[in-house]
Amino acid sequence: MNCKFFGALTYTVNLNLHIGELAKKENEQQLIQIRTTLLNQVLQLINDDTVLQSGMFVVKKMLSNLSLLFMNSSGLWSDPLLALIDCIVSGQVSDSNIADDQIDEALGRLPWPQIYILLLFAQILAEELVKKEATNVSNVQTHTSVHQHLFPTVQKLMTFLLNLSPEQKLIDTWLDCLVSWVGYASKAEFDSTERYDLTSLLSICISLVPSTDYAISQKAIETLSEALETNATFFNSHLKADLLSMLFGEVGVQYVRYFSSQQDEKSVADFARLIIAFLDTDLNALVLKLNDDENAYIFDFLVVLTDYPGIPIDEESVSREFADFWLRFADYCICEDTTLQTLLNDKPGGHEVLSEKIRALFERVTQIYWKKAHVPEDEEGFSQYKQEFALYRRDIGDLFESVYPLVRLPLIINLLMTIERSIQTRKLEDIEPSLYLVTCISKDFGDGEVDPQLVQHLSAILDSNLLPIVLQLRTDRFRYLVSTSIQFFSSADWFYKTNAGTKYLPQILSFLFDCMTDTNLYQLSSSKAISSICSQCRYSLVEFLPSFETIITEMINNTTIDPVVRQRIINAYASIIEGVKDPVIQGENLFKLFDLLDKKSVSVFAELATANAEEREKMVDYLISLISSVSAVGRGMRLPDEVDGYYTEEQELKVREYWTADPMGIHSKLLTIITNFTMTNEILSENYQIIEEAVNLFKCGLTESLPGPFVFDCATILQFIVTKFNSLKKSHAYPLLYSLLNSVVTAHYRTLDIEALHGTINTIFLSKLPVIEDDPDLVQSSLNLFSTMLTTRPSLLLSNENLLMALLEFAFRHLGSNERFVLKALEKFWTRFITLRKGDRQDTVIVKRLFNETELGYVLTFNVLKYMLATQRSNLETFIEIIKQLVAKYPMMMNKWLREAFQKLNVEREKEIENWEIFVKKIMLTRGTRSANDLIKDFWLEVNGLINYN
Amino acid sequence: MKAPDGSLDLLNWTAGIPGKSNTLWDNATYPLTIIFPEEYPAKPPKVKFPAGFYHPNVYPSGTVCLSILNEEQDWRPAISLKQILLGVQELLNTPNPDSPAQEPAWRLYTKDRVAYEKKIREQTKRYANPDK
Repeated sequence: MNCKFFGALTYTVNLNLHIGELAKKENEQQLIQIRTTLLNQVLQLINDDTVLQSGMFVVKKMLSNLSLLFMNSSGLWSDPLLALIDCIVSGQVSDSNIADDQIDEALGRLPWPQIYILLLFAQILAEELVKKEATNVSNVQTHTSVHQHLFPTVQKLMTFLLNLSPEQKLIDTWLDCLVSWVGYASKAEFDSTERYDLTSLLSICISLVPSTDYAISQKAIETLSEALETNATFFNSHLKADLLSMLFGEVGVQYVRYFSSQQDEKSVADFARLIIAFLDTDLNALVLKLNDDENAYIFDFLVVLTDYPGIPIDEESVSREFADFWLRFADYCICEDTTLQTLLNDKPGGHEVLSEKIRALFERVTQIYWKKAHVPEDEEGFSQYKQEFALYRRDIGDLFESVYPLVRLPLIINLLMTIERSIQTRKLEDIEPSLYLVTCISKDFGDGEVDPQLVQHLSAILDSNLLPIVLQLRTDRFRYLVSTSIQFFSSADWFYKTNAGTKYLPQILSFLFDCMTDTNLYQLSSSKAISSICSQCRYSLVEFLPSFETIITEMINNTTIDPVVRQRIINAYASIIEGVKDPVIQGENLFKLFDLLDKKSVSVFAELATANAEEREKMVDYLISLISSVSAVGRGMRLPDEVDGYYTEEQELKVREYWTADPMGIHSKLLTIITNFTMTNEILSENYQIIEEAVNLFKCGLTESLPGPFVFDCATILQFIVTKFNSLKKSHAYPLLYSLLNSVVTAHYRTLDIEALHGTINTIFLSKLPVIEDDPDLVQSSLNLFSTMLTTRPSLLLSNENLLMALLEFAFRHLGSNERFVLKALEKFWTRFITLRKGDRQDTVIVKRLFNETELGYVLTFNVLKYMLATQRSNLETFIEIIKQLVAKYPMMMNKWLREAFQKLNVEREKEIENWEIFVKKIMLTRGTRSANDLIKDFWLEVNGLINYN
Repeated sequence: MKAPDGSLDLLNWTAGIPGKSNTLWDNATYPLTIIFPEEYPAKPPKVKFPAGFYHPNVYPSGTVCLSILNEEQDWRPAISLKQILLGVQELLNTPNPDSPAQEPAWRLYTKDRVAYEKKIREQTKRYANPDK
């Protein structure tokens, strides 16, 4: 049999290989010959009992070959199914086709196995047609031919078969065949103008649902679901009416009852899927049905099905199928409310009645899902489907969120009251799902006013000792309760921001701290909640500062604490300090924090040298976490963007005076910390992350408009850059220092001491040129720094001739770079240098003189052309921009530079550049506008012997 | 996202990208906003992580730099939201070093992979899924 299969497969391979050739008009005879051969082979196979018993895979492959041939010869072969019927009936391959009215009679003479083959062929044909690619002319022809010739035969075959009440296997294939044809018809309707009427076939399918044989019933249900999900437009109003009466009538009830009694939940879930697919076709009709009490049975049935008994996921999936449906239904009711209002215009009060019924329906639905949202108690079994259950609960959460605008306040109040009741009656298992669902609904409440009732109920819950109870229950069984409580308090800012809510902050923070310190399990989530609360409610937490001291000490001293947790808590502390507008209190608290941090880090530095490799790595990680915390405090302490009005005049004056005098020595403390971390210890001084954090720390204060703890004068920062640069043994951290200097220039270019700046550049650039030249990263970082100077205050650069000359040579040399990021940095540098937008009169004179009176313009043009013609296409942009700026800014000179450059290039190059004169004329005509882009691209293609395919 | 009146704001979506299993990004969900321009789908949506998100192809503002989200590169109106989200999820663990969007992450990714991975692990903790 395998041999036969390989034979069939060989046909497939060759058909696929030569089908294009065969489809040509001149090969028509060959195509007919192949078709005859294939049909003969199929006839032989299906007359062989052995093949029918154990080789159906060979037959299927051959039927697939016939389909392939049909799809590629539609002009010549209109109905392959009729051809096969003819062959089977006559027992040979013949050209004559049976007349339409003789098909039934012919089929009546065939035995079941052969009818089964025909059905299989009809199915394979549809499947192969679906696989056919794209919408071209031949496809449209195929669709037309299928609709006119093949489909009527398929319909006759399928109708004939079911009228004879055949066996189960045949019905299964019949239903599979129907699904395939629904799929194909749907595609054909999308790709062409053909329209299919599948009513009679679908009607037969519906009639199979009430079958006494439940296996047939099940298969028919699956088929209808797939058909509805594929294309519901095939179901006309009659079919829909039939389905409605069947699904919600006696048949549906019996079906659910039977499979429930058999504990066959999967079949009920399949039935639910069909109901949902059916209802989804017209949600508008469903909403309107709510208005008529006669339809109450439909909704009762849906609610009962939703409430299918059993633990979700583990024992039942019906409620999961429905969760998504109810969500869509709720969204529909909300989004189409105006439409519904219009539809009910003629009934006074009709819309209000409907809204009330919608609300009542969703109250029932949410009660079911509240029950279903309980985390199962069976620990061991639950671990098997924990992930899936979490997704299910998330869907329930989404459902509650969607339903909230319909049911409104009673939904959330009900949940809060359930929590209150559960605390009183000690039904503790009901607290978690209620709190979880309240979180889902309220997480997006935002800054708007919340209803006082909600605040009142939540206050009552906290007064009933919810948090101590949760803390007592920190056992495995209730770990969801702890986790959900943390999640809830992490997002309940709508509560804290009310006067009534603020007074519970100490209690809540204390709870979160307990959760954080008790086990590692809740460290990340509770620290996140603390950080979020402290950030949101910083002004209400000033009195809480002393309580933080113990925990901050623990955070800094305990080396085993996760760095993320440490940073979050220190950040939370910094948020509250930032909220204090009195600089004296700020200074005192910051000093305590930094002093503690300084002392602790110094003690660890001392141990570093003697630690083994493993210990040392841990210590370094810990120290990185400490310095990261300091820079995080800096970020947290930044003044708001809109500083006007943040302080009163009096407060602002006090802040200025305090931080200028800095009586607690915070600046010097911070500098000590930075020096200790970055300069004094050999192990740490080359550490990239530590230098990065020190750089971040300096950057924090650069953009501040008032003096502050992290605001340093430029001289101090430049001093740090120079000292650190000189102490570095490796060049890996140079870009960090360039970037810091870049930020200093951006923030203080107006007031920057030029001499100090030049001294710094001398150290970090001129004296290290050989090192910088070798590393594209350093080339990029340094160029970015100089571009910033040109953008902000060009005289910072132009006033130093030595630096300028060295830099221009540097920037010429690297035009030959292969690194895209270096070229991008060069583009920025040269275009800024040429255009000099921010330059004053003197700057302009310097640059113009360089272009007009020296070789600069020519050398730049020559190098740009030289490297542009050799670069890859993706880098062209850089060179195009430089050329455009030169053409725009120096049109007269550029003409000359270009001519001289091309002449020299042609001397240097092996292959001469042709047509350059025309290019020069054209490029000058563009005056550096966008039209130059395509011109230069085309010239580049021409010189490189390439073709533009766009 | 919900507008102040409770209605859905169809042009601004929030989403979460779960880190792929068995990668450094696993066990966390990374928050994302998707901002659709009026011209969508003729123009691509803007996809943003929170500002300061650590990834070589995410700008300091949080905007994702991905060719399928760039109108001048690979954006096509037929690209579905699912494809975008899967593209962003894929990008998390397979950054494109040729298209740097932020200096710190890109530099570490190309120069010191161990330090880069350490940073990613730390970020993963920040967006860790709730402990259960």
